[in-house]
Amino acid sequence: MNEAPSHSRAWRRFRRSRSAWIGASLVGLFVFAAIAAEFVAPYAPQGAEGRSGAALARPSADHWLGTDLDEYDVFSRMVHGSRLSLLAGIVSVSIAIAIGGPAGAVAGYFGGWTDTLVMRAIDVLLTFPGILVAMLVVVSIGPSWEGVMLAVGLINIPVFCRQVRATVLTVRNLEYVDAARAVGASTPYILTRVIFPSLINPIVVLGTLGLGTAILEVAGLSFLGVAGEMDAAEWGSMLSEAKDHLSTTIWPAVAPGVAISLTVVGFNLLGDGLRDALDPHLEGK
Amino acid sequence: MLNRFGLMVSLVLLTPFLSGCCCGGLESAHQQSTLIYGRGGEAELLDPIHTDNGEAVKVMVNIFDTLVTYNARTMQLVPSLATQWSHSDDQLIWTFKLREGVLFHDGTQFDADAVVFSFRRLTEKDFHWINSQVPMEPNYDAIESITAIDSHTVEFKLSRPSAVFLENLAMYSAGIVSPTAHQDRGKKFLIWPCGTGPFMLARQADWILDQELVLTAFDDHWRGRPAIDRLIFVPVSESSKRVEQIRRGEIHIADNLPPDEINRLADVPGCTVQMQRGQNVAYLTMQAEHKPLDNVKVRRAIAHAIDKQGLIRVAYSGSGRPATNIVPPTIWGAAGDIVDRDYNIEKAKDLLKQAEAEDGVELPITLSLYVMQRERPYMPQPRQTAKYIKDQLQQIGINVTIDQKENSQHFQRLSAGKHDLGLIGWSSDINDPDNFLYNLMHSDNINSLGGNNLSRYRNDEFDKLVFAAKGELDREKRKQMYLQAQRIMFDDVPTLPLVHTDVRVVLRDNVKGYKVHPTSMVRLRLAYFEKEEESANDE
Repeated sequence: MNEAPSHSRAWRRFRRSRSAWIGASLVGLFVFAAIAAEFVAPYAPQGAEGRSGAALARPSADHWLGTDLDEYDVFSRMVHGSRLSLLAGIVSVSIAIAIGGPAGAVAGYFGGWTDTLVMRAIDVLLTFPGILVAMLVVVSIGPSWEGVMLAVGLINIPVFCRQVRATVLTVRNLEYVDAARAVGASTPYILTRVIFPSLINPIVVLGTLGLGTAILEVAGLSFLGVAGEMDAAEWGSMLSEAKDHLSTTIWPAVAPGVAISLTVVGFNLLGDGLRDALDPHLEGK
Repeated sequence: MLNRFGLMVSLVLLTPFLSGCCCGGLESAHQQSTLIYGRGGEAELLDPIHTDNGEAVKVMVNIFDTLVTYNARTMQLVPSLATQWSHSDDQLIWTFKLREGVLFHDGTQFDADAVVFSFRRLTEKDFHWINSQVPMEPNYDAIESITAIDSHTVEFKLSRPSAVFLENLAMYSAGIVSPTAHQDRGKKFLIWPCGTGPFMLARQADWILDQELVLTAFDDHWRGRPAIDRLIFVPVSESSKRVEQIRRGEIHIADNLPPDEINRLADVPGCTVQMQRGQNVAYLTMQAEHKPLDNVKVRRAIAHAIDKQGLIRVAYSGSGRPATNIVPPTIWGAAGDIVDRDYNIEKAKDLLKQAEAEDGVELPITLSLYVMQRERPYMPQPRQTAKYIKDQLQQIGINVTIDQKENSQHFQRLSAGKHDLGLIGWSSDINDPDNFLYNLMHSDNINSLGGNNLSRYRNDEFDKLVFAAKGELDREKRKQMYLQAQRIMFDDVPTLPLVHTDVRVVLRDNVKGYKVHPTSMVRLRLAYFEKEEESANDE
């Protein structure tokens, strides 16, 4: 596995895939919106200064997507919403990787009862619908954004745990790992230095795909009203508030809805593109 | 959801087949009719003394009669179970002649003993099902004793003259219950009540909590059988769903809808919007036992920081009037001469600085703001209201954290005084300022189990005035006392009155005879369907 050529090959494959490009641009768009929200959004997304003086107004030159029930500019809230959504997605996926990754690696490397223990625990977690577990977690620690991120992180652990375990299982008996063992490398060294590099690609792919799912789950939780402060600009709670006023105006619901869909599609396409590029064996899977 | 809906539809479809058996004579020309009332919440109990929940009252005023009541359209007191009454010159002895031949839903006879029983139940602890949870009890504490003179005459003896005595007899809490059913049903009476009203809860099973509450017309009602054969209260907590249901004619009456949706429903063929100036107030309670809300300057600053016109625009779609006093202007004795504090951010900030300099209030201030989950007549959009107030207070540097809870939990927490700020309101059941000033602001009503003085306001001078006004029989003098009390209250701002709303209800066009009462009491005795059963239901 000589790194450099493999990466340049991957980049070539990635470049040729049109869907990967669409995904990357969508994600890029929202990342940009999140970083530069203050400059992109024409109005404040919350607080007294953001109130336009007219609730549920139709789209106009001043308010491109109209205003919502609280007189805020829908476009500005949508732009600012990408910040919380992306952040929540990234934090929760990181939590899932940070817990699921090591657990999967240990389970796969040692096998035996360690493996059984970890995987049964994961199975138990998988028995319940994810969003239900997440709701239980958030409600029990009290509604907050931190809680939502933690909850979504928890329900995504199995994905990473299983993937890492599977990869470790396939590489742990390969010759270069045996060789490392033969020269007397310690177990932590083997796990972190020898095996770890082969985990990067699957984690990057799954992490990207997982971001889409996580953002959807975060939005779902806040739609159900178990998230933090209700006036935060966030797509799920925007949708939840807009749904009671659909016959008056659809834009406060359409905007966050489209934003959620585009981000999720974006991460999925990007994830697929990355997978095709980084791991040709998985192509078409 | 699906189940309940299926059940509803099948009930409506079934009604024509059930019709033949139970109604005869005059009614035969009339088809069996079911009126479905869609509302946002559910009652938890239906015992008139143990709940003051608006959703319960809505049902109870159809099950129970009181000795006196309000005219179907106006605020005039008219005879009900009592046909006439008189009082001694000092107004301490009141004698009521009771209506003859009135039956309870369980078939027993209404008489003086039933009245005595009902009032002893209301005022004596031994009769209560649940300990110390008779929210309206202080309204009746002038009653010293009540005796049956003969089978259809009762005499109330008051310990002090009371100007609100008669009005309070018209309140749902003074509903007359059947002593026999009370005895037979025991604690079940809380959820399976029995009165003399136009509709009855025929079987305990007719109320499936959170699904439907089916009332049946009472054939032997003393005013005559109501035109509607069956009255179903359906809780539909999603207001958007209620909007859709009334639009499609799946429900016949819907209340507490979002104001912007009501504006739109007015244009939908088949729907009518009824409006009535409400006798209500939405207000912000400021828990005076919590620092720094014990400081009047802080409370005044908050009053200056909230733009009530803006609030009405945002959270009421313009349908309401800014409130200066807690007593709505539709009620006599409201202090119309008080000029409200202006919306003035600078003044508010100055007041906070003064409070910091003179009284050592620590800035910046962080406060909790409690709000209910589901809409109430005085607050159609609780979430929007809370957010608006938060934004307003942020402008003067007060940080607010909104805490939204399910309605019954919200009321309990406010009653227990757990809040700093709380959004709440009151709809009056009677035409008297006492209903507001005594129930909401008198220190008698500070208690953690259902007391309604949520700000825990204690002002001796105010207390004395309001209490004395209860006993003042000269209307003009009484009015002056209430005006004085309201001036004191305005000065202290224990609570910040926000809005008096219009009560707006959407009905299907073929529902006639029902008119929203000024008290917002939902009395459906006179409702009927203009044409035959609505065809929309058969689709």
